[in-house]
Amino acid sequence: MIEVKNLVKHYGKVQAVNDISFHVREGELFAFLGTNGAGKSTTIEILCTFLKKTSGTVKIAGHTLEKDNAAIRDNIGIVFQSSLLDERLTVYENIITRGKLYTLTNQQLTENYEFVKRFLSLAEIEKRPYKKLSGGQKRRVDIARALIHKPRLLFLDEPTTGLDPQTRAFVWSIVRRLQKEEGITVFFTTHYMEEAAVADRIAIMRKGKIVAEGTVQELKAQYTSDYMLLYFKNTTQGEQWLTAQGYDFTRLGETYRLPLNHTLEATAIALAAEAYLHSYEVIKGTMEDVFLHINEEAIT
Amino acid sequence: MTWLALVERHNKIFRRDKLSMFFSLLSVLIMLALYVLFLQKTQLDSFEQQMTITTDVRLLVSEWMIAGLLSISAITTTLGALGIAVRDMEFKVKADFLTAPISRTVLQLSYVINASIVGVFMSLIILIIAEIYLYIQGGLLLPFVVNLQLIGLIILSVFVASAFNVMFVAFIDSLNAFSALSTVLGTVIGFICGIYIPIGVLPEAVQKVIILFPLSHSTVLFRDVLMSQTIDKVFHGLPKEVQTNYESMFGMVYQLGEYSFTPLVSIVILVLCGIVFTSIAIVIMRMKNR
Repeated sequence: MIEVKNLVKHYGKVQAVNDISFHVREGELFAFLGTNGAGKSTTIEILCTFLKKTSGTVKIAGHTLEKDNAAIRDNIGIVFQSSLLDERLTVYENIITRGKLYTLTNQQLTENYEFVKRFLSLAEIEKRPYKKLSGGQKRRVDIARALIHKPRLLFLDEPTTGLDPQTRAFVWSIVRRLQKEEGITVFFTTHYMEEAAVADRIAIMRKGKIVAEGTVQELKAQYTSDYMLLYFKNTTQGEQWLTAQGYDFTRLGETYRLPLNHTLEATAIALAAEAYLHSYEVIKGTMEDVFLHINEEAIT
Repeated sequence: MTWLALVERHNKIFRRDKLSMFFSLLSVLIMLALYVLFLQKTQLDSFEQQMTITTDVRLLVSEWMIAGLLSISAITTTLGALGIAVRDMEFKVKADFLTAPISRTVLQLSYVINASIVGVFMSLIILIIAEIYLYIQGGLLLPFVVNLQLIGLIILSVFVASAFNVMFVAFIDSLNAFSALSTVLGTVIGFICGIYIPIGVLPEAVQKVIILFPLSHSTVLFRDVLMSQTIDKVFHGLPKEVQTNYESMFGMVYQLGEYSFTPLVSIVILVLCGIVFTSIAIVIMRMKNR
């Protein structure tokens, strides 16, 4: 769905995007991560045809970027971080006005409107001015606007920043339904790592480069490990036992942290140390760990 | 027909903002009031030295003022309507439009077209108020042909004015800068079109600036259409020179050295400037897209 090869973007002497290549498969939920200033936004703006690239090739939905931008725009929908609809217009007016900007017949537009209205349950609010809506309702309408031309690819640029947990959960349920029921490819960015973990694949950008790419499992395997925390009845005895077994442990106050190659190892260790243990817990590596690890690694 | 959808949207937003519509009209009415209360008197005084003040003289003075008002309102109302373009730029709504397969040129033109529609609509309201004012002053309703000419002139001057304003607005990307521009333009434009002070009393250099400022040619044309009948009545029986003097003093006819501009030349100047301004605005917009 998206194929990026050797993409470069300079602003004067500043290299915002420095020779990146990646691809997004059809029907995929793809997360694009990076700290602020990593080149994420620039990349998205290029993919969405807002910004001209310096060099490289990009293909979106089979069309070449900068040769066939109109065809690309007909195939992509974008949900921006902030709401960009007209406050004084109603939900219906907002969506239809934007819909008229695409190459759609009136009949297609009406059908598509009925679709987004049903899909996002807009029936009750369609006649209300946009400014009278709650934050969650606004987001629903923003997504409806991005879907009015039935794009095959949906970009979501930090769609949940500043939203309450309930609305965030709602937004993600919509995104997953879009992917499953409508087969739409979704490309999103977020600063919430637990949101990134739902993606089929993830790319992480740092200083204009893609520094990691893969499935959640792959990234976790490469950049994090599970570990277990041991709480001994008697720390001196416990530590002696650990040393005797030859484990590579670290002491954190009264608890001992033990890296695991595999989660199931914990069972054997817990059984072996049962006599000394007061209690233990197994901590799984998270996307947060992956992200922090990658950015830390690059700093040192 | 994407441009039509865009114009429709801009227009709806403008119409829903009733308060700003009201203030836009109010500012023109305030100018009318200022005129009636302060400036009219000095003009009538200068007439009094030469002739008795009749209804026709009063009408002539009022028509002179209304001509200025109509030419200025074309500029201020279209500028006001372009506020939507600045707002869309500042809040990145333009980016949202451009996610659809439309060109920046079409988007830019949609703002110009909307500004023109708003400008014509507001100018027509001002025209109606002006005609009522003239009627109260003891004049008759303006003949049908004059009204047609005025409407034609309104359309022309609004088109040129909105193209002129778009040139400036293309450089602006914040509402703060926009309101500063509106204030500056609103203050200066009345003087550059010579609507407060008769052109004849100004220094020669300033006169040249006014004559060379293309938008002031719509003021001349409005004067020509509105005043031509009354002026003949007022100066009837007086030497031809007196009328000619008045005409050049009050900027009914522009003269540059030996050359006097005919209405046709003024119209051509306006049309050409409209085209040039629009082209410049489009070029600026294109350059902004890196």
